[in-house]
Amino acid sequence: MSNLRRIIRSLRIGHRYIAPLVVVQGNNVQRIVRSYYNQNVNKEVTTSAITTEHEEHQYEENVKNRILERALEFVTQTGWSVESLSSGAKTAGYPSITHGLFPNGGGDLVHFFNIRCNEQLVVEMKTWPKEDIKESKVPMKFIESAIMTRLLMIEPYKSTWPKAMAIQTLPNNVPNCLATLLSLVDDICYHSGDRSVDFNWYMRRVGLAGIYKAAELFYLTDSSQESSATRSFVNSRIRDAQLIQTALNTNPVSAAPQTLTAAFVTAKNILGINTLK
Amino acid sequence: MVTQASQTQEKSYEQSEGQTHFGFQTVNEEEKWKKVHEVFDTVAEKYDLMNDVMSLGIHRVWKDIFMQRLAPMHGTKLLDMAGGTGDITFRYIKYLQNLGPAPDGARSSVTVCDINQAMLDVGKTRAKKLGYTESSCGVDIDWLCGDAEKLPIPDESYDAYTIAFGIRNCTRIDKVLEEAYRVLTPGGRFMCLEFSHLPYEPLQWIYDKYSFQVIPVLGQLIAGQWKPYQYLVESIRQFPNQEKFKSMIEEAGFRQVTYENLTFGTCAIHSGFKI
Repeated sequence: MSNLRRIIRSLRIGHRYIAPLVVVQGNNVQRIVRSYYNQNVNKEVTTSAITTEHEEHQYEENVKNRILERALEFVTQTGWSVESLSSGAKTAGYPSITHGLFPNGGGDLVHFFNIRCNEQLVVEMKTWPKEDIKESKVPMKFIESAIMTRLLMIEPYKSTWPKAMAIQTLPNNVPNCLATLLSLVDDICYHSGDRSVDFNWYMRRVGLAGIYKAAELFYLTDSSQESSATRSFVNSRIRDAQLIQTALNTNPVSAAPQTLTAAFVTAKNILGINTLK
Repeated sequence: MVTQASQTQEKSYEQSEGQTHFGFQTVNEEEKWKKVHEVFDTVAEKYDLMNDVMSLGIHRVWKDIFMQRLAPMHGTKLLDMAGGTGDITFRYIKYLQNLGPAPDGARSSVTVCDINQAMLDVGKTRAKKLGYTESSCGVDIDWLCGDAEKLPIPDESYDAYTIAFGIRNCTRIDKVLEEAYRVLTPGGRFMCLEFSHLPYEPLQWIYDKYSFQVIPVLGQLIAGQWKPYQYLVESIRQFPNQEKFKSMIEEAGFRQVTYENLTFGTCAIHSGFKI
């Protein structure tokens, strides 16, 4: 029955192949017709494969994100761990064994949290007033509030955050961690109005990444009211950066010999071969 | 011309339909079932000893890694397919014990399923010897004699499905995978530990030499059997390679399918989720 249906369908689809089939009799007709039919099916599959593959991927990502979202609720009790992930899977309606979707365990959870916070920060930053960036001026207020907003997102998980920072330094989590950090500072620079295309582009981002990480460490042990100590720490670090930038911008050609001599003297001091002592 | 072409086509078609391979021989599907059955009836007693000798004890490490990757939690329901002598089951119990005491209401269970009663009997004796009774280890253990291609188990009744060094001996791998998909709950994990292919030619050559020249001899010397071990190494060569097997798992409906090579690819752990 199904064979008959197949023949009819394939005749409809592959009508141009009917002519040579007339010569062949009996059983073989069926075989050839079917093989043409199969060919047609394959063609249809390949054309739609790209879209379905994308959908498949999206579906898998959605399931993962749902589990991770739920897992965050358990972080305060069980930390950035496989336990939290399996509790998350359970509340999302899956068995606890589904935590295997995240082979990096806690690392994947921290990564998810970082990405989510970064996205949230971008949404918030878009609503802030922009300061114009000039050659020597750093948009201090903008950067300060960006860093502080981002840091305060850690607040609910402050007690477990040292563990999370440790997890991020594990070799297999380092690439993800650096990527999220760089996208964070890139977002901050972009939204603060940085449109530079010269070497400053790198300077700003690397400098900001350093400030952010230092502030993060400072924040962990900060018990002051509304984290005011962290705020002033960030403030003075940005001022430092500003000073460095001004120093770098003062006529680099005339400052070069001085800088070089200073560097040499320092190097000699370190090596203990400074003859002027 | 057309007739000739279609005839050869028909021939190859028939071969893939009704016949399968038993080692390097081509046999009927029913015959394979019988032959595999015979093999495991004859080797059951010496199975564990031979595993140790042939793999130089490394199979224990593979199985440990396998359990590490599965990382079960309290309350997991595991189906240990082709788990006759209980190697995976005992590791599962031990892993759960190491997690600490189970929270209230989370009772874990494991069903050891094997097509061969002789292998299950060996497993039961070992469980007794190791002192794994239901009350002592806190895990429910069931022993079930059943065929992986048509499991006597209702839909969506297990969280995890493991099959270690078993799927190779099944006649229809696609059917086994379909059944695995059926009995798993949504979110459930399929994991398979199986001999695989080495991606580097020189290593594969060494491995081939070892397999064909040494293993059957060891079988003859230690277990007094040549043929079952000849079959063993041949069936390893017939099994699809990592990528092919991965796509077969995907075809059965599993998502997020990954594999990991162990010892240069002598073995591979395949994993998939029903999500």
